[in-house]
Amino acid sequence: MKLIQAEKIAKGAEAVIFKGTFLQSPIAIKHRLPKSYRHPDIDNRIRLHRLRSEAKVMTNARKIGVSVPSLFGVDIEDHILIIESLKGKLLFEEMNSLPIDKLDPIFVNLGHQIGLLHSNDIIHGDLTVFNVLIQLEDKPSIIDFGLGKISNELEAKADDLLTFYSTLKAIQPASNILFNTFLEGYLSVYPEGKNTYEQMKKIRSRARYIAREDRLE
Amino acid sequence: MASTEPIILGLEGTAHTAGVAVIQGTQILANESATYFPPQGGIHPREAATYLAKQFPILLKKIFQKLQFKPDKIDGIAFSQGPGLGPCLRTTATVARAISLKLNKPLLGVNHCIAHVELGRTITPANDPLVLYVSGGNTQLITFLNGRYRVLGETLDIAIGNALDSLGREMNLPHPGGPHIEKQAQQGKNLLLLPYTIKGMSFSFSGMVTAAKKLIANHSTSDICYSFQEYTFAILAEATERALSCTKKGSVLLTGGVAANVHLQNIIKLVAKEQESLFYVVPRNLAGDNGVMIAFAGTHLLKTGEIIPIKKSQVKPRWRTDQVQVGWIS
Repeated sequence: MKLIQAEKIAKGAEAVIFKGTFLQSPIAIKHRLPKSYRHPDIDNRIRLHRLRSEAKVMTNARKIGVSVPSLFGVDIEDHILIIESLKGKLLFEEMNSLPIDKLDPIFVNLGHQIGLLHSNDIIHGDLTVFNVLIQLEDKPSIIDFGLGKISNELEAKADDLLTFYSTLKAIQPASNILFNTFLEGYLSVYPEGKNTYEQMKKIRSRARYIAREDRLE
Repeated sequence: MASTEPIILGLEGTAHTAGVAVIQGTQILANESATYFPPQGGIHPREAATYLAKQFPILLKKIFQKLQFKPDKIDGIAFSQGPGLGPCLRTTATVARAISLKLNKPLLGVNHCIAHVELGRTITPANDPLVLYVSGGNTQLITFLNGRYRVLGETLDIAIGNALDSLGREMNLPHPGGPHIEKQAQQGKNLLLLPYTIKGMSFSFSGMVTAAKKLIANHSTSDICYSFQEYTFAILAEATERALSCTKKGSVLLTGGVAANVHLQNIIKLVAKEQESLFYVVPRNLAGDNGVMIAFAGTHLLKTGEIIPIKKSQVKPRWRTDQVQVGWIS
């Protein structure tokens, strides 16, 4: 009997994903292939660095009780991660189908989870609605820690909030309400997050063309 | 003239380029432009505005000499209402208002960033692409979602063109630095270590310029140019690939002044291939700021009736891509 059986199912931006089973558990195999558009030296450095930090960050996040896939194995030489495969819909898809009152509890809960991550100095690095999976009704799981890192820097945490805010704003007109709901959840488990939010506004004000009426209070 | 499409005059003047063009439908009937090169340092807004004020009458004269018809055949006056440098925008708006009043033709206020996108949609087969807009003043990943052009990712500090120019200045390359860096980079052999900053689909270049400047004392100009391009373009490529993978748009359009960089074109072409998408780029002569793109975008505004009265035609220096109501795409 083969230990692992898998077939290719998707090509993400970072890696090719295979789905299969490992000792009867559903798994995803994330294979980071070299990118043709990057200089090989930059590419190798980045792929190795991200593989290591993804494994480390996922493990730490799971330890503190954040809903993330479990890590089954790492193959440093071949740039492969073997992780638990979660079933569910992307938050991005749910946002197009669910009414706003159904989204509220999801965003509060997501705020809790990110607050928990940040209070433990875990940074996601690419916190968008494309990287949140809704498994049960309002239970978000956080996936794809490819740009994740361990850091106590205010700026890194603020970048997480800003990335989330920006993509939210890019796809959903009611984004300010949803972001505030998220923020409520975030601050309730991570009161120091007040400073993170202040820093996020500071970073945002460095960007180009923030119209006066569009500034966050 | 058999075409029933409206004839539009487009005036571009957001920074250092004065552009005047007349188009009809997808046809470019005339196109003239003049670009200000500062004797030293970067662009001073007031000096650039003075330059535009001198150039517009010359360019308009040239345009009307070329055309086979009188100015009163024009159906609308489109101008770059924003975003950009205040003094430059005001100069351009003044020219546009004067022509609109004189000819008694509708005034059309165009968003400069969206004009770069509409140019690509008009003259390449790209219909609903993910757009990588790279220029001296802007760097954005734009796509059409829920009735508007949305910015999926962008620079959190300076634009890629601005980064290239300011690094070029430090190495005593002439302004604009971009094309000179591209040329120098071809001779570069050693990849020097630089930071790689990406934040989801956004990025920042200011720290990378600082890091690259520190290499000047001990490394050759060509190696620095080569390394800087490899790093910054890889970041743009990765952000583009992520956006392409998220939105599943199926095509990428490269537009803006830095789109003329052949190395960047090749890199983004490879990104498109990775995501099994099509690749389009605007032609070199229309990559930088020009009147044609303003006129193309103005055509849409005229057709959807978005005409602005003179009283409401004040410039919008901080007008964001995602603030524009897009009535011409369903």
